[in-house]
Amino acid sequence: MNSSQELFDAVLTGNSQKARIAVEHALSNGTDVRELIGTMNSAMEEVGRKFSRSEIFLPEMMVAARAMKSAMEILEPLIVGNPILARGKIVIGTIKGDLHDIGKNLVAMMFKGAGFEVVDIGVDVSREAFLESIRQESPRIVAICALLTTVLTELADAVAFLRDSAARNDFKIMVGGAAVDSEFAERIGADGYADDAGEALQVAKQLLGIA
Amino acid sequence: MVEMTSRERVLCTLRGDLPDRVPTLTFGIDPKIMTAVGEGSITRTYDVFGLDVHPIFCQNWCQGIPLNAALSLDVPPDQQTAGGTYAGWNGVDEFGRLWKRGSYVGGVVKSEEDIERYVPQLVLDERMDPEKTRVLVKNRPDKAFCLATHTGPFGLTLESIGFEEFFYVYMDDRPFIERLLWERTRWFAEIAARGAELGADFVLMGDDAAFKGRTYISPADFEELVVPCYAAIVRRAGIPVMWHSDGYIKPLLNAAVMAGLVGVHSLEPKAGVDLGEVKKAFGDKLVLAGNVDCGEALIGSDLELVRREVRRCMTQAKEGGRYMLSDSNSIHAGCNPEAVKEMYRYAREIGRYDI
Repeated sequence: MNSSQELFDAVLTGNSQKARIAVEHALSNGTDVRELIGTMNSAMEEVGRKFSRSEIFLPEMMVAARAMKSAMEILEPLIVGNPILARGKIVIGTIKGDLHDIGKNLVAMMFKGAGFEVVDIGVDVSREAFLESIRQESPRIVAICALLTTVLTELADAVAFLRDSAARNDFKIMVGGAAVDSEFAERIGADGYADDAGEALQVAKQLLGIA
Repeated sequence: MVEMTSRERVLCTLRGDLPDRVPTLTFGIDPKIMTAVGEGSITRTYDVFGLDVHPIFCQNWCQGIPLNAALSLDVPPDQQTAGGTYAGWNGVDEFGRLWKRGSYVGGVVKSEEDIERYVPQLVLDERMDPEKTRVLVKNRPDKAFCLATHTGPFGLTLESIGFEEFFYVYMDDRPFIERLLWERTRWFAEIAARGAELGADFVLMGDDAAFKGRTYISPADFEELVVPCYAAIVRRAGIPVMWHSDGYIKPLLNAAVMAGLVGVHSLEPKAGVDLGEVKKAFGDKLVLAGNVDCGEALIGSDLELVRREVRRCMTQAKEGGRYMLSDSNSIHAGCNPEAVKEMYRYAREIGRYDI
């Protein structure tokens, strides 16, 4: 088995140690960093697909994300400052009035595993706090979660508020969570919606035009 | 058909027999609603709503909010640190769960020593106020009583390790999970048994195992890992045990049957639970309770929407018994009390089996 296949399998099965060994082995053989990242992304996409089909569940998905994150630590020094490889920042938070963070944390993990820098600004986050974080962090995506139906108005207001902000053209807005569906997301003007954590990664990549 | 008392109605439903009408139930009522509807009185609130099932007094918090007949409905001040018998404000509680201003933010149980440290003493009487409970049960013989608490073994294991960390440990060190799960099981079983001694007719065991569209772990793993724990609780309780879980629990309902649970509560439609499908597959094996959407129908002032939602649930699950009309989670702070009243009133009207 070649190191690329080993890396793919290691991420898919959530084996951090094997993922790191495979990356080190591949690097020592002169494999391009972009190729390694691509392999891991493919593995995570497969993880997302399996999760969406209920072939795997949260534990398996999370160790896969952990394996990729672990392997990415080896690659990070080679990525920093390289605009081709750096995937950019995502600001994520749960909307004001909602204290739930399980879904948000899952999505954040998937983003981190795929090489994004994630700025988690927590739960019960006001629209002003989202905007402040956007100004400070300059993210490529802002991901807003809502579990409770009672906060949907707040979510809609926040999306409108952020769309009107000065820096609007520099970032995309994603929404998700138990209370949200694609129809609502479209109605309030979000750029993207995901039904689960696996899909969230795909949507984020589509929004940014990343393969 | 002769009108039954609430207790007769509920016990009849739990046995799988046909009562005079569909009983009404909730898992919890937010203190704000209790203040608005019942002037802070738990009994009055349940009476105003006309609920068939009342809770016995028990320490019962969820996400920092005292629910049901919690020992106190007062949320502690910001600076108070939990760690005593109350769980759920600031700091680390007796189970190793970390809270910040009433919101669960993580768990601290990482080692065998932590397991020893964060298995609390039972101190059952501190948790349940036996005298008050006995008086309540004695004075309301017409009502059914349940012990409703959100400290089931699976959720408590997950929360005391921490959401993220739990799943890593689950994959890396399954015996550690099993040990903690059994400690939580033994603890809950004693609470359940004490509830039965004090007069509860059944236990409503809050134990979240799913979320929107998914279960946390695979149904096969759940059957292997959690079913023996639930079965042990059922045996020790000596009264029927109904399971409350958020999320899409349909794939776990076979596990509920295997464990000997009498029924399941919440059946969240927004998470993907189709009550009609569940009734078809499990209506002869489990008491189904819930499915009235508390996210949308109960927060507004459109009472026709409420009636439509109640009608839908009745149409899908009333036939043949083994159904309790209830919200899909709890009567949370965002609910409109008038919508909640209408839900239960209309349920009493169309829930009769002689029409």
